[in-house]
Amino acid sequence: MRPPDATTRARALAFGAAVLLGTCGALVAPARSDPKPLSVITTTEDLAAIAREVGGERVRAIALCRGYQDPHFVDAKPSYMVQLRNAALFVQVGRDLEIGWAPGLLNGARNPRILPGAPGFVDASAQVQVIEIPQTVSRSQGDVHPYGNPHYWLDPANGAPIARAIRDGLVRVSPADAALFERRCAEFESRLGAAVARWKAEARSLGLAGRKVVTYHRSWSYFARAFDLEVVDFVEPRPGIPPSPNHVQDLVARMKRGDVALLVMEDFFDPRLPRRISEQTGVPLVILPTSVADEPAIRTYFDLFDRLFAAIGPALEGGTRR
Amino acid sequence: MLRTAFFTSWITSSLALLSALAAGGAIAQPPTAGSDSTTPATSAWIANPAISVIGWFQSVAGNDHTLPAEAFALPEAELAFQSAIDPHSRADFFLAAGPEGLEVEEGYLTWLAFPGGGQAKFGKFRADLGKFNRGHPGETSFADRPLAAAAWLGEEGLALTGVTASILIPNPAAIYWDLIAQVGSAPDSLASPVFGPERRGDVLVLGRTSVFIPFDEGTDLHLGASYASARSHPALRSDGERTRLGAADLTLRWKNPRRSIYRSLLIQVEMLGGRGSGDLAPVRGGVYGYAVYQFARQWKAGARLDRSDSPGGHERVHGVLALLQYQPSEFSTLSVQLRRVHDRVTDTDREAAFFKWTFNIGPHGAHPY
Repeated sequence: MRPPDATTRARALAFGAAVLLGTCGALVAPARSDPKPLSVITTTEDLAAIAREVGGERVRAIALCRGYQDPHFVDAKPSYMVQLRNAALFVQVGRDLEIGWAPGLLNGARNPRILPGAPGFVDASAQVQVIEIPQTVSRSQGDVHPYGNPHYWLDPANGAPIARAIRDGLVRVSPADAALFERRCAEFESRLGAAVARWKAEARSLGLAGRKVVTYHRSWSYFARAFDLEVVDFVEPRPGIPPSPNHVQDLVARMKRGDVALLVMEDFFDPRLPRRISEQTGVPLVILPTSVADEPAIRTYFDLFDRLFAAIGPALEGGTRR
Repeated sequence: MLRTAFFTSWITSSLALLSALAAGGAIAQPPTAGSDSTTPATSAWIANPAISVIGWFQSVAGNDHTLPAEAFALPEAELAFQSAIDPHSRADFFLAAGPEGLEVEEGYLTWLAFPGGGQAKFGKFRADLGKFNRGHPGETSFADRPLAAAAWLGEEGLALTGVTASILIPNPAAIYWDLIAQVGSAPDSLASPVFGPERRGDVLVLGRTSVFIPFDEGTDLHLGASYASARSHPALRSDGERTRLGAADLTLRWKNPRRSIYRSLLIQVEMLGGRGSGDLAPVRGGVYGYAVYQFARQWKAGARLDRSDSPGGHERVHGVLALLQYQPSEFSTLSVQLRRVHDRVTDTDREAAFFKWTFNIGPHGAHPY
């Protein structure tokens, strides 16, 4: 046997030493304060909009998922890791909505400040009353969310607990600005409370209470609960699995009974099947945005619900609406 | 004649099976949603690692004698155990259960961040030589491995046990640019067609850099270059004591972000080249490229072209593969694949047809990109 290659061995030792030194350095690296606006990276535009309400000029909030994208299916692009690498705060919807893409990005971002459990990590669902937590979880039911329905931002009242979770995160990463964040959060909650009252009044004037609707996905459960709509069926009953012809047939028969007021779908799904169902049943189809920045005019959390009511009213009077 | 008839009926049966599954059947309503709460119903999940199984069933037909003799096989079931260890690190273990027993396919600890934007992995992991090699056999679109990957990195791909360090390189354009260094015990000459360590000091050293360039919200390009060096396989030592491998890879992806689940395109090209450390050693290598287009929510079609020298230099093969893929859900993929390989030395063709059904049970894992 030939003796070990000295050059190779030296290189390997130097490499190993560098890795170990760097690893140990992470344990003792001091935290540093930054006078620039805090970089807040959120998974969705709704969270970014609320972060701007709470943080004002003190934060620069950017969402990874565009408002017109399906938040379940976002590609974990390496470029997102670059954005996350310097973030002071990371905010996610949680409840496994981003399970297919956010964990890999956080693990690859090399930013210990925003990892789960760190001060810069915020799960916005922490203070939200989550609904539809399944008693049993099986993939035979489709891609169900075991921790409950994650589309909670579509109940406008949930804007308040989301804002409080973001406020708490901002205070953790920038305690010197605590008073500012607390004041802005309170102001946002106050304005939101008034807006919710206005939207409830609008829902009453439209006669939404008790109206039966069919939705494409389970995105609208919170909105329906907030405004007393009754969701009686889904175009896609098992999340993530296209409906079978048998289900579509049964759904059309169900909707032909005449008591369904609306067929509601998210605008990131293909509208061809819902349009066909609408034509066969005479139930108006309304294609709605589900997030801030879905359309250029929807710039704030308030704009989102104004836009939803602007679409629902005419749709209830009949005809397909976009 | 009989073989041709069997081959034809095999393809017809596989396509019929795909069609039947795609047509679907009666779907029961899901159970009504349960209670409302702010706490998860199953907190035990939080303490346990995420446990999942990825397996695939495969059927092969044709006259390709280089493939396993069995017409039906469950080549591998991969058990994954993944969890954070503490706020600083995580562990990912993948155990491959196959006809030859249970082995650790990958098992590594990751230190998630250290100063300067670095990250380190310790354990057994798939080498970052090219992009395709990182994928586990069951996760790739193909029933086989590209000819050059199999010829140069082995049928199971190249894995090593050691240390990885990686950093994101800051740059004015703020694009993703990484640098990876790996050092570890190289696979032995039974597992690797080009490497053959004999002593403790015979380590494999590897470097890789890659750049990710987004063109717009739906289109991006990932370019990578890799280099590895280790003691040569005994059969290749006439070309030098060490074998050096280089790889260049290009991945182009497109997806309409407004209709992300309906249309997508993936194009990947990878070149591999190797040379012994001897002064007169020849350069040999291979290349493969493939495109997979998603033309409907659950359907994809693709093709792959292959060319490879043998590391020993006595054989050069060309190949072409076509696939049709049906994805009933995120957790299951069925495909029919046809492959023809032409051996230029003997001027013979080998043909094979595959049916592959990959499934995943357990928690929803993150999708690699």
